[in-house]
Amino acid sequence: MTMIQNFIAVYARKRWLLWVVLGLLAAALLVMPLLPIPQKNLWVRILGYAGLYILLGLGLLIHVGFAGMLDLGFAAYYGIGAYTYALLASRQFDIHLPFWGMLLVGGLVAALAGALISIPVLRLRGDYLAIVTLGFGEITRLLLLNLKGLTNGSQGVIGIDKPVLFGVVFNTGTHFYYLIFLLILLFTFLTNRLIQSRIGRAWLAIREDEDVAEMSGVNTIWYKLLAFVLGAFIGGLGGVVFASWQGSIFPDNFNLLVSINVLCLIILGGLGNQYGVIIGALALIALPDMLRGFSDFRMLIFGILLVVMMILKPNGFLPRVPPRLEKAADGKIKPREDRA
Amino acid sequence: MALLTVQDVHTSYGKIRALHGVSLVVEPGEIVCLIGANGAGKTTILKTICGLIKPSQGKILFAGEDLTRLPPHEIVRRGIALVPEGRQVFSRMTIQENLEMGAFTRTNRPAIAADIEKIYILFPRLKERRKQLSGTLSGGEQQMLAIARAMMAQPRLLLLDEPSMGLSPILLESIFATILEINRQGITVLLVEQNTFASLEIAHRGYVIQTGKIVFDDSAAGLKDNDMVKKTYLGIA
Repeated sequence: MTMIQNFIAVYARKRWLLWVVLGLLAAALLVMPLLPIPQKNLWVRILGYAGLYILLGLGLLIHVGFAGMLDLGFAAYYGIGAYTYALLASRQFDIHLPFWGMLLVGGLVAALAGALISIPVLRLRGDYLAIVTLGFGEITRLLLLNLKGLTNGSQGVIGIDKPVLFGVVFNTGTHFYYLIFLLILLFTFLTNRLIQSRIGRAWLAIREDEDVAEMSGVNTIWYKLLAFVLGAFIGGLGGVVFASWQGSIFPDNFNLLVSINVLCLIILGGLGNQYGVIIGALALIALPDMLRGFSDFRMLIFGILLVVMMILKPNGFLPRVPPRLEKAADGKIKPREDRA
Repeated sequence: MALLTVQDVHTSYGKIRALHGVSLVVEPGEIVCLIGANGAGKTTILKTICGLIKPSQGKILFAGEDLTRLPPHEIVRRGIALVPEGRQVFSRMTIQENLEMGAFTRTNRPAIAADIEKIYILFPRLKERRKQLSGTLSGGEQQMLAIARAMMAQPRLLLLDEPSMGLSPILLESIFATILEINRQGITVLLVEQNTFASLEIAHRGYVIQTGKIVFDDSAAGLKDNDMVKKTYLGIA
């Protein structure tokens, strides 16, 4: 464990090392489905599924990590996105809208839901916000379960269309693996731009102290609404991908455990950091599957690993690091005094 | 014309009334202090002026404009900055980021950078630690940073809430010297302080507030001579 800790300590100081590690990881993941690996389909499936959680994590990161709003109902946006696609591109009503447009629509519908739920809760803080979002997540699931005429209730929606790109039907896990891979690249880039922008700065200030942020001239209500909408959009988009990949969805796919898992993975990764989300999702979602060799003891080992991990790295794998040194007036980069 | 006019302001927290008709005036260029015991309503007055609490009755005029219906982030844009009680800095941001955050309402980047350099001249300690997370600063340094951050908004009126709270006598002196220096640069100051003696040393005028009401006001020298102020707030028999 100390080796890992040393490694983390080193890359916390040398950001380029982090980029090398992430680059190698990305390259390995990129070529993995093409290599002759035993049980390759299983690996593609596990990692693709972890990838979906990375997407969800990036969405929830905007709520919790950036703007500091504890959201316990993130599965709702995921479910709303998934059902939006499922109802408009399946045998259910025999409507078959194209996947690529629906990817956007599913995100937008979820974003709209995010806006609607956020209007009454924007003035709430901390625990109250958590309770309301928890309720919102459960209400959404129960609506999906009980609006039988629309959603088919617990029977779920089946026969959901696969995406088609230039005549190629996405009918293998590898197709979805690469789709999710691209979406992760895109949204990692976008959230990274976002957090370094004026908007991101306003979110961090709100997370630190809402009153002081307001007194610094931040329209806190507006920026919190924006965070809610953007995070929900990514969640909804993840839902569309999930629905098309699974081919059938059920209300129970969007239960509280999903919200909790996404929250856990971003905390594990270190709140406020996109790259942490990637590591957190790989650890939290892929690890239980990788531990299958331990059969019955799998979840026990997983739980122990989580506890040990949070004791060793209470701030997560990759906590937010302040921006790099800028060049001083003389053009030289000054050494950091706090470096031991 | 007065820079700030508070007219018969009533404020309540739910059913508890905190201010019962407070009126006060701050002229441009002044340092005005509010003197009063714990719970008298000093912080409430500041919070009401900057819009964090809405008055149930009364008016607040700033340079002739009614602020009563504006949200706090709009009031900052009009030129009022608050240094909140208890040195509230954005503790997980660096000092540099805190200062940049203070200039959130401004868009002229070169001017902001120039102002940050000016701040660093006023507070050399902050320059040394610009890349440090501000939560790691000492109490006095955090207070300096809170004042510096408020200055970055280019206020015409600076509201200071208990800047000396929990600071050593030496630091207190340097904070008060800073307030004087800020005032010399032309910024009007409304100061809330428990340390009545020190605040009357730097203020031009003062208001005495008791249980949500202004009981009287006078020049700083007049207040220092006032028997009631001497007895109650200065501890001189």
